[in-house]
Amino acid sequence: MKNLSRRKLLLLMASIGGTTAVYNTAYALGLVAAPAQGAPLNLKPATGNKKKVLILGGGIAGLCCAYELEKAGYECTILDASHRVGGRNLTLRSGDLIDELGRPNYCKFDKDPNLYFNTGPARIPGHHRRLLGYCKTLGVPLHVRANESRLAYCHDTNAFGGKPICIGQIISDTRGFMSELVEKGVKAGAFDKELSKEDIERLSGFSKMYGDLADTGIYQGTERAGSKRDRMLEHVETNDVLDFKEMLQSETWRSAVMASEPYDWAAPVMEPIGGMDQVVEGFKRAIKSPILLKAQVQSVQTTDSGVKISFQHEGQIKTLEADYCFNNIPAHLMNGIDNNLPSEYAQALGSIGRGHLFKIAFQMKKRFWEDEGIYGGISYTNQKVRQLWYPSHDINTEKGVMLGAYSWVDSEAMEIEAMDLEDRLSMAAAAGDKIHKNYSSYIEAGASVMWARMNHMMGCSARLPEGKEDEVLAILGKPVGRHFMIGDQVSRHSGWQEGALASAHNALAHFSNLVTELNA
Amino acid sequence: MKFVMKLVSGAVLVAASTMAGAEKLEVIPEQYQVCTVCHGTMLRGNSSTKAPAIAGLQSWYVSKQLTSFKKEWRGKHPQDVPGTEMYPVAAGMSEKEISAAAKFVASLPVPTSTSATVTGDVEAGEKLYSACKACHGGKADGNKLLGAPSLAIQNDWYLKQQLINYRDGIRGSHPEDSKGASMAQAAKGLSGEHDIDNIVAYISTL
Ligand SMILES: Cc1cc2nc3c(=O)[nH]c(=O)nc-3n(C[C@H](O)[C@H](O)[C@H](O)COP(=O)(O)OP(=O)(O)OC[C@H]3O[C@@H](n4cnc5c(N)ncnc54)[C@H](O)[C@@H]3O)c2cc1C
Ligand code: HEC
Ligand code: HEC
Repeated sequence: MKNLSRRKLLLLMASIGGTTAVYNTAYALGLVAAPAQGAPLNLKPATGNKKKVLILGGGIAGLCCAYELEKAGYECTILDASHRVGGRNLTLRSGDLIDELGRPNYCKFDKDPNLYFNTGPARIPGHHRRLLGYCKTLGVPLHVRANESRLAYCHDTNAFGGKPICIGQIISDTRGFMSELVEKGVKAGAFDKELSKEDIERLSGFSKMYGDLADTGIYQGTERAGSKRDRMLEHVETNDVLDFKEMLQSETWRSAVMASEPYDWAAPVMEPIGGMDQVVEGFKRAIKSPILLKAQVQSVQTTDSGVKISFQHEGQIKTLEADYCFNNIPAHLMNGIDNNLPSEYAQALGSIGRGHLFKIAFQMKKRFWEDEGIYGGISYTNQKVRQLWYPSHDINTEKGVMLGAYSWVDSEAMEIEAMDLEDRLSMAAAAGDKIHKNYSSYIEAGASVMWARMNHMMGCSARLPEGKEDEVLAILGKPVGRHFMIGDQVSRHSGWQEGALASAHNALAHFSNLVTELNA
Repeated sequence: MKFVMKLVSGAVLVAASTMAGAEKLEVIPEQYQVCTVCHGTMLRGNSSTKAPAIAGLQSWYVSKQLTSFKKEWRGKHPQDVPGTEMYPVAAGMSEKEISAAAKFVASLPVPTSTSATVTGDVEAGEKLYSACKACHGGKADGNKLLGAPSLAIQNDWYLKQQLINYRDGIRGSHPEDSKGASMAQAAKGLSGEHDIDNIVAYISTL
């Protein structure tokens, strides 16, 4: 490929194989992110009288199936155990029920459309073509949410004297240190075998620029990391360089530097204007099929010609027969629901563990972070709250709702799940005080959403059994008779709405094949 | 029914009695529906949420356990994560609600089949069980006077966890919990590496 530029290769491919070939080649070359759809599906119109579909659970995957199947002429009914559809896609506003098991409570934010909090999903990266496609089709307007702020903090109780350090400084110093190491390597001849003299010069030039090294090849700080004086009227006086060893020993340092590197956190990320639940509202506007709330499925039976589903609704046990069913119920809850699924399938469901993600939100009477130059983005800490998120919307207004805790550390989450509501908020307030001066004095109201303790959910995200992920997904990714399992739990991207949508599209592809077979 | 037929498009509503294969379902009063989220359909247990089968447990025992949770004898130990999940549910119940819930739980049919998850030496387990008989009975169906519950109906994974909890001082260690203490004493004897697996395997045969 040496003499063939990428562009030339693509043009050549187009002349041979058409645009699909171009697309696939571009994909192989890494020019486009993923070959995913950005538009809704186009299922074959329903024919005959096998048109009845039950959708168990109205999470994102369930709503997507209802939308697609209804469009193709199927008669769908959605059953959801909760008082609302949307599942983990939950945005809190004034007065909303926080349906925690044993500790139900209500959101105490002010009644103001700008004071809302995305307790589950909160960001959509540009890679998530299916979700972004539905947002467009369903008329869900988006704006950019800053996933990163150089002026937000990296805080570690065991490093830097426990003082919060601006992420901009952390990143600049990291680059400085790494570049200095490259320079040392150059001087020691470490690259002499791999690279020509000219390329070594280029490498050295790049690393000096990347790290802002002095001519000596030593990192002595950079004006990028901040200045001790107002640089508009005076010379910059660079901040003191952090201690490299201290940085290496701090776990928070790594989180702060890597914040925008993972695939799903690639800046910029999007959020629906007014709250993530606008995605759910978009589906609800488009779906005409009946949605039964507080309809808790109690039994799932597959039969030769379809499914028989029993659920409790309005004080009665009701049983419905249908030709197909799409099951969006969390696997760990399905394990406690009567069913006649084959033992291999039931065991696969039972092998999926519960995740313990949680978020805590505070309504702040003043957007104090903006006085520190922070407009969106995330601060990282090694305390149990782990992260503070600042809203990107409604900048310069009076009040704001910010995230005061968001952790992926299951063991720490379980400790907090066991706390009373007030204790959780006090813990999070005290942690915030270590990062922002007078943090807790701004708090007007707080809310905690512990996903492992939420009614009809009890977890996020699905923990596939270690070493058996492929096996379990292979079993649950295919239908049993006319029963299809859906939800992010049966994708390789649990914890992302895109995974839920991919699972729905996968199930609908199997469904299409089955219908074609049955009609043949 | 008419109302339902209007709500539900397409899918045919059938009488519950025509259910093929499935065990009979009963209406769960609204205040206990939350119990089924963790304890499963008809409170038959769910190994994923670690909430055991409680359907058909003796009402005096259910009442005692809900009270134990409420009094923080159970469900407060940091190593007892499933207990901490049950705790807030019981903590919010009044004495009256507890006795009504106990009656309701006891009135449900005992689950007919539970699948085995614990493997052990049944014969060795039978020998060990002789130390339990006096309180739990030869058929492990419990003894009200001694406060010892039926074990025969219980999920094996749950029995195993509880025996570990008693043995390790996680359950039955509160100074006011005399019944718990009598059981904790009995569990101290299960010190062999496989004792608990063996005895649970035996109880599952009863
Ligand atoms: C803290 C957190 C952060 C997240 N961040 C992001 C993010 O930034 N971006 C992103 O895209 N995604 C994010 N996600 C993931 C996203 O929320 C999920 O991937 C998605 O919402 C899952 O949809 P699902 O279709 O799997 O359904 P679920 O949300 O799992 O819904 C299941 C439905 O089944 C219902 N149900 C349960 N039991 C029964 C029963 N017995 N009978 C009938 N119905 C029942 C429930 O009420 C619920 O409505 C996050 C999630 C969490 C918790
Ligand atoms: C959040 C999930 C959850 C909910 C909701 C819940 N339970 Fe539990 N329950 C559990 C778990 C988990 C255990 C086992 C605790 C342990 O291992 O110590 C348990 C244990 C119990 C026990 C003790 C059983 C025994 O054999 O000792 C009783 C009784 C009980 N629950 C009754 C109820 C009732 C009645 C309700 C509804 C009012 C209810 N539970 C709701 C999770 C729950
Ligand atoms: C002295 C009487 C006594 C003896 C002997 C005894 N138990 Fe118990 N057991 C009890 C009592 C009382 C309880 C209920 C305690 C409580 O309230 O926590 C109990 C509870 C249990 C439980 C918890 C059940 C549940 O649903 O949570 C298990 C399991 C158990 N016993 C098993 C055994 C085994 C196995 C043995 C023999 C090694 C044994 N017991 C011996 C009295 C006894």
